[in-house]
Amino acid sequence: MVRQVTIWLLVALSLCCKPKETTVRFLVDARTNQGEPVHAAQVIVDGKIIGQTTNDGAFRGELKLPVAATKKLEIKKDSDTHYFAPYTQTFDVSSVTPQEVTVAAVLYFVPKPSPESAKTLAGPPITAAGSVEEGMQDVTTDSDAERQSESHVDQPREPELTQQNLPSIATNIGDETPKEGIENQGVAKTSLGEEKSRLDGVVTEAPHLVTIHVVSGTNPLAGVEVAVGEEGASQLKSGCTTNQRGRCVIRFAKKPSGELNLVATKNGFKTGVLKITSNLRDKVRIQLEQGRTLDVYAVTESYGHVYGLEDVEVHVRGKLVGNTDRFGRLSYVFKGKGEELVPVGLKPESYIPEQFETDFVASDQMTLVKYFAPLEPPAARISLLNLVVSGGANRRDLSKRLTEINRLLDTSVRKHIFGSMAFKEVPLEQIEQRAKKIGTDIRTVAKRGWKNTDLNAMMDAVIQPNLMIGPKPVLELMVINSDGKTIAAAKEEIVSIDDLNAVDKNIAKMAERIDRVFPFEGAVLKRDGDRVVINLGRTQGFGIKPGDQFDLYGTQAEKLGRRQSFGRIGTLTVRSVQDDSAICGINQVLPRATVGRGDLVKLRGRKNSEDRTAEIRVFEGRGNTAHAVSQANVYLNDEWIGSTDAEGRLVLPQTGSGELKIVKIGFSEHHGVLSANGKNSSNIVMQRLSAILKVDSKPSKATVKIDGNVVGVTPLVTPITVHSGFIKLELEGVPGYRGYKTVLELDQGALELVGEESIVLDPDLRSIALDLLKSGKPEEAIDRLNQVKPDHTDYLMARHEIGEIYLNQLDQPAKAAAAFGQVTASEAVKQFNDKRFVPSHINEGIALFATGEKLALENPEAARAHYQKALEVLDRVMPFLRFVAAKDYPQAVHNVDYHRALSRHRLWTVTQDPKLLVETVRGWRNYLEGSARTIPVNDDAKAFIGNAEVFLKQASAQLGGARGTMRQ
Amino acid sequence: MKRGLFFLSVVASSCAPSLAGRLDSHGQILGPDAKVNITPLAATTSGQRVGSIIISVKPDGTFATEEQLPVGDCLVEALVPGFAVASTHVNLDGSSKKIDLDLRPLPRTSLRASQVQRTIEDGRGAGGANLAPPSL
Repeated sequence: MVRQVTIWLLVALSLCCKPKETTVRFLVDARTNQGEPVHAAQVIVDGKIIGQTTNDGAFRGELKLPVAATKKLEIKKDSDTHYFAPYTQTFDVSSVTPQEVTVAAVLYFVPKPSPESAKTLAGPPITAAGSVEEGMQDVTTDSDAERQSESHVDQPREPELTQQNLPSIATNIGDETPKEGIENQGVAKTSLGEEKSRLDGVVTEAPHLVTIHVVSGTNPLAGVEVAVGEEGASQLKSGCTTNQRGRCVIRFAKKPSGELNLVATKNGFKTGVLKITSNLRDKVRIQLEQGRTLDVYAVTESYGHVYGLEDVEVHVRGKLVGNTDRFGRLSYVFKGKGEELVPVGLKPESYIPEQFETDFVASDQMTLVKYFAPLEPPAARISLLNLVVSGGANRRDLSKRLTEINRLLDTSVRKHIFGSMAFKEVPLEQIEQRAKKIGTDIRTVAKRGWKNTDLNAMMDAVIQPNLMIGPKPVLELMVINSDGKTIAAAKEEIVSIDDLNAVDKNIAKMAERIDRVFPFEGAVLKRDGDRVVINLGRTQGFGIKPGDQFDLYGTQAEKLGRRQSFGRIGTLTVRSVQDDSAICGINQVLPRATVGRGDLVKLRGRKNSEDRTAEIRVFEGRGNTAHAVSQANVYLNDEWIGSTDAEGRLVLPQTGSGELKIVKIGFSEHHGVLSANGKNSSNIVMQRLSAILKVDSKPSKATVKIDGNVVGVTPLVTPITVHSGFIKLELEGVPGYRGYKTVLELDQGALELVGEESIVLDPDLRSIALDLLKSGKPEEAIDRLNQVKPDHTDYLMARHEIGEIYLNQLDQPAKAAAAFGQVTASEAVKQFNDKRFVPSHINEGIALFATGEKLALENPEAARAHYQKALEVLDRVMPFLRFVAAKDYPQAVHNVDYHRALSRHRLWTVTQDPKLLVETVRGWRNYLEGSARTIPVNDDAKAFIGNAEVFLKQASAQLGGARGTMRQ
Repeated sequence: MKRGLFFLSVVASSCAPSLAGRLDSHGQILGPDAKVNITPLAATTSGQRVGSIIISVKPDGTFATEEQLPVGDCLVEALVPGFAVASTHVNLDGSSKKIDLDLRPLPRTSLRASQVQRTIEDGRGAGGANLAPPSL
């Protein structure tokens, strides 16, 4: 019995003494400092491997761990090609409640040096394929070979076209600076991204640069034109032209996704086409062969936008040689003799002419661009924008009424304008979504045009409805084309905004007027002597009438007949109109131009512009300066006669006379008289309506400035009156929060930034982090800085500051290198365009060196790789030290020179390579005889110089034939 | 013991010419970079100069040659990162000698990160270039 009790007690005792455990769930996301997932990385807790990451860098797993213990989590990655700095983190198991440990691990990686590259540091880097490629970087990933195979060659197949065998992870180190493309020859003639970025002056994302290298055999080819076709685009755009080194740079607003086509053309060489289906690298090499290619482009133009026609049959010497791609392009490798006459034929489907034939004299450059037209005239694709209202002091009282007007307006415009076959509505939501994608908004688009953006493929014009509230409210519809130019407008006075029935009636009237001034497009169906039949008639909604004039577009041969160009070749006047066609007389045709089936016709403004001689210029008076008023609509006897250009200018009809009205949203309507013989220019000053502004902020108590003047503190409950138009609004002075600055356009009369619309101030995480740092809490400061999101303007600064804390205070150089690496991976920093972050490169090099020092005892090979990478980074930053601020310059120079020399020294001690010994001695001498003498010295620098003398003596002694060894 | 000076004590011994000693680092543990370089100053009987000998120093500052040194004057230099170079002349006369060298610490090197330009208004770089980010 006693024995049983004893056993029972022992069991109970062992149970109650057993430490309490809980389940800890691990959520790991392991990425390189370039943001790529790290797969097959070991996840280790307290020295025990608990699993490894998946292909997307994730690990999910759980473990029973004792409560009230501090544990160490490590993430390690082994690779044949790279050294990855291990990531470590401690965590507390605080209670018996199951807990989650979320880890966002950044593993800094450097390539393992090949034995060859370690010996020839001064030589060019080695590519992943093992071939020496000047200026190209050599970082690879494990899956490089697979990714490489995803690119393939399109027709024609002869030229060898490859993406450079280069890293899929863009390295922030050692890439060729694209300055040669940018500075020596201009980046690109038409830069897609640039246009997008320029659209509203806001850069939403760092641009993506791709360096193109075109060679023939091993020789670089200059003067090669490279065109680009992006995913979803229907035409190729000019990308860049190679320089003497066969290189040029294409700048994209952001890294292109989806399929990308690159077409390289040069006289005397076969056209090269590279189709990249995924994973566009930073550098692309194209190999061209000598020969001749006939480049055929079958296209159509509609309202200023050119589209490629896909699947057009191309016949050469009567034989089908292929069909055009989605850009309307086919490159045919020509193997005949020079000066030979080559008949070429094109056959599109559903476009006119149904067949086109021409002859080419075989030569080095053969390009055929043929425009086709749809059989039915295209409807103009138009989007209806939201109503813009100006005037009306108390807008809140009107809001219900305005909502009703907006709704009626939508219905009426759909009935009277989009009900016609001549117009096709493009839903506003679609346009807004696309505009947002390219970093702008619909109002900016309407103001500045969208010709060079993706939106051009979606719509031809927008209708902007305006309501100007006053004693006599005016409703106006403006049609704005892709150039941002008003091409048609109409206005009607309404008795009162309470008279809702008037809206529909007035829209109907305005729709008729817009029909009369809209520049519709069609095509020639046939020619008969001096007459042509066009496919625009009476019943399709185009409102064609006898007397209307058209511009005629077609091909005109150059004098020697070797080339044909497309353009305006003549004018037509409508003689008679039928239901779906009109007969026109040919007024004039340019020499060597032929009029034929499928030629494009564009309706000219029904007002005869040649008769215009008088000019007005419209300004707004504000203070002592005058600003031009653009897009102001000018009406003569209530009929729209045009709108002012960017300089506020409009040429008026010579013969017209009567009441002149100028209407612009946000301004008081201007009334005047135009006399019949008035030929003089005149300046008209319009007065802005005042606008009302209410501002609140979250949190409140922010000082509010308008145009630099303090107007109060949030919440500004009493509305303040400001001039309409652009105002600069600033909020500042809330401790712990960042200031807010914006430019508002107050066309709408009143703007209430209160309630849900209040301005939300961002916490100033960097300032909070600085305070934490001052109070000796570096880890907490890092936590705060980590909260700064990548899309925040402070992101790079925050990453740099994290790196500083790891390097200066926490002695964790690998994490510092990772943080600085994230800064230098940013495109603008990587290429030294953003000079503010030159110190990030310096620190990255030093942090890499310091990481090498930490690894030296445990893993000399990894240490060696880090020294080598540190040296590369520091060598690369050398030419940019002059961009470091003057006050920090001496420290930066000593830092860089000393650590460059010491990195070499370490590489020599590790490898015992005599060549490196020579370089090491030279490096120390250069430092001691160069910047150590000429750059001002502080305490740090004194230490650097003292140590440099020691290291120089060590290395010199060895170089002088000392016996013994530097190895331990 | 006054800093900046080094002290030499020579202990005669009956052994073959060799040198041992200690570097006084004032309590600091010396790293693997610590070396002593011994350069014979006199030519050999054949008229040729003998190359210098570099030996490593133990973390406690002691060192000793493992091979015989040529007889005559030699220069002994303590090459220890973090300390100024310390040196002395020793006359080797066929016996073992022991020397102590006092190391003068240099100002501490600290890894101090270079700072980025916090604001655009920070102005121009040392080379006069504008540090404002480019407008794209």
